[in-house]
Amino acid sequence: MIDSIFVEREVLDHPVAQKIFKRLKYADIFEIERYQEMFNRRKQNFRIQKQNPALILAKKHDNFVLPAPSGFGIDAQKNYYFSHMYNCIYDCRYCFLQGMYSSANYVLFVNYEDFFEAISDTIYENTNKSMTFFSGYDCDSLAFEKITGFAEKALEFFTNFSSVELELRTKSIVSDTFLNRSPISNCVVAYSLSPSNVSAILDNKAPSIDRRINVLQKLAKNGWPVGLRFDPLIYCSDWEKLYSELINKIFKDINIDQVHSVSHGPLRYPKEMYKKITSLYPDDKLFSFPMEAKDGIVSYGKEIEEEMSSFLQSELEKYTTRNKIFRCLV
Amino acid sequence: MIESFYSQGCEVKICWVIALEPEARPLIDLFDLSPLSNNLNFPVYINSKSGHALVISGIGSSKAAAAATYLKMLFNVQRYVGWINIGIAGFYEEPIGQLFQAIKVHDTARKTSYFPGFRLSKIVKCQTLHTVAQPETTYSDAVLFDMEASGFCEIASMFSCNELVFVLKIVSDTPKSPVSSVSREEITQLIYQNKDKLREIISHIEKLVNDEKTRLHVPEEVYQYFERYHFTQSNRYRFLQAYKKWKSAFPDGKLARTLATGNSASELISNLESELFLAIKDWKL
Repeated sequence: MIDSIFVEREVLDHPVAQKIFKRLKYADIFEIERYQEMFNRRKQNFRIQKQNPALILAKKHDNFVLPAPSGFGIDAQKNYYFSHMYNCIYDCRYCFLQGMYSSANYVLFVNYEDFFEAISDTIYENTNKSMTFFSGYDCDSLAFEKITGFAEKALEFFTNFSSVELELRTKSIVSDTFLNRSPISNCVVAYSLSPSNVSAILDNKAPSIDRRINVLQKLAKNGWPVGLRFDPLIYCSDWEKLYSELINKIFKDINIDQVHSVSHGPLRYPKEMYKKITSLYPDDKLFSFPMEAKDGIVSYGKEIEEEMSSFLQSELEKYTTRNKIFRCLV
Repeated sequence: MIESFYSQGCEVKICWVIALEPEARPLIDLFDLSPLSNNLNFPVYINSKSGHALVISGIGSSKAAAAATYLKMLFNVQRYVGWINIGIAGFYEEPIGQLFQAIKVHDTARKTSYFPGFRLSKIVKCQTLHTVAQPETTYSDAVLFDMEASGFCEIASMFSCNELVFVLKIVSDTPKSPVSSVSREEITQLIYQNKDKLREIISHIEKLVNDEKTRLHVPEEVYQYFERYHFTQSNRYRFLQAYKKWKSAFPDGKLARTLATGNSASELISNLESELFLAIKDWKL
């Protein structure tokens, strides 16, 4: 549990900060000027900090909404992402956040209202274009929901923009936020999934795959559009069997009409990020694989990527239509 | 003395930087430290078995920084080592003798803040500390006050990672018991009375240090190849990376056997990589 909260003086009295103080009533509170004083500074050690992360409450001043990297989107004409939080309570070994930040503390931007204003502006600037907003790029969208209440607010906001899609990407099994209200057809809850054996080794502190599948099936039954995200695809000797079983398990008990989209993507890192992550966990078997470095990107290599992608595609087509399946190539 | 320290294969794991002798005395006893020499710029104590080294800096943040640097140079302290500044501090409220970990250190003169150390919040209470140039007498903020920590934090975090730099303070004076009334004996007593808690803290820090040492460790067998073959700087890096992957994939593998046919740096690297490629088909996580 969070035992220390660092809070920017400017947001001490913000209602979201005040709510969080009440929810984490046993945490010590320390005032700071700006979150950058202590977040992502040189000489910080992500691996050690991850053993007991603090929560930093801050105000975001700009770049509330950013264009999603090409290859990240599903099928909208315009794809954007926003990050109300940096870092994640889970500790997935492949997570790129380990290489992006030197700090494992969680930064939560409490000025949600500014995010929604910026999203609103972006929507009005792009009328007549299909749009998707992605949450969960720099954090897990729902893992911290009981503390932040952000998704709840986002759902309320997006009910007013029914032609614009919101994707909340997660590994969390938080479901009350959804089950306590009527489904919203333009809000997609997208689950990151890997075979159970793989997840048990790599998705540290995250809910098991079985629990994730249970929740996503439950949400689908309750009318929520769900997304299935097989990303990153992890290679191991029996990956075909493992992914085949996983896909079968998910689809055998789901209302297919509620599956909004399915995507799969390879394990890839920018070279410098890979270097940083592997130096944090030099003994981890995931990083001892002889990866290929090409054009500044480290990956399993084209051959394995294509093989895995084709296999996933054909397996998924057994259960759903091709127009719902996307290959993510960030 | 220093030569014999190295010749015994000893290594420093914990570096203590302490302002005053009465503050250092309980640690010297607790960790069985011996004086290194009488001819040093700063008094230094060491226990070559446990790897604890201690320097007495004198009062003030620049002296703390200088003493930390001195210790670093004296023992060629490695980057996985834990650095600890411990001492007495003023606080706005009782009780005297309460131990804190300072997790925010603010230099009031330079208006700079540091956020040292992995938070040991499950063991010890955490607090903000202000490093001041003169002894604090008004205790105007609800924080700790000392005269060394900011200089220590600035320098020690250059020698190790920020999470292995710790500031521990014991309350010695408050508005009810001003600093002028604290005697040398009382200072020593305040540290002594926290010895069990300190042992617990040190045990946790030593674990972090050992984990970090393991993470950064380059085995001796790698250096043997560096000595035997000509490696460019870039090949040295490639060899090390390939070796780490190979070792992780084949923890029981015999390096000499894998590299038996290599006669140059690039051949050695290629041998390691080839063995990894051959293992892809049966790759286990």
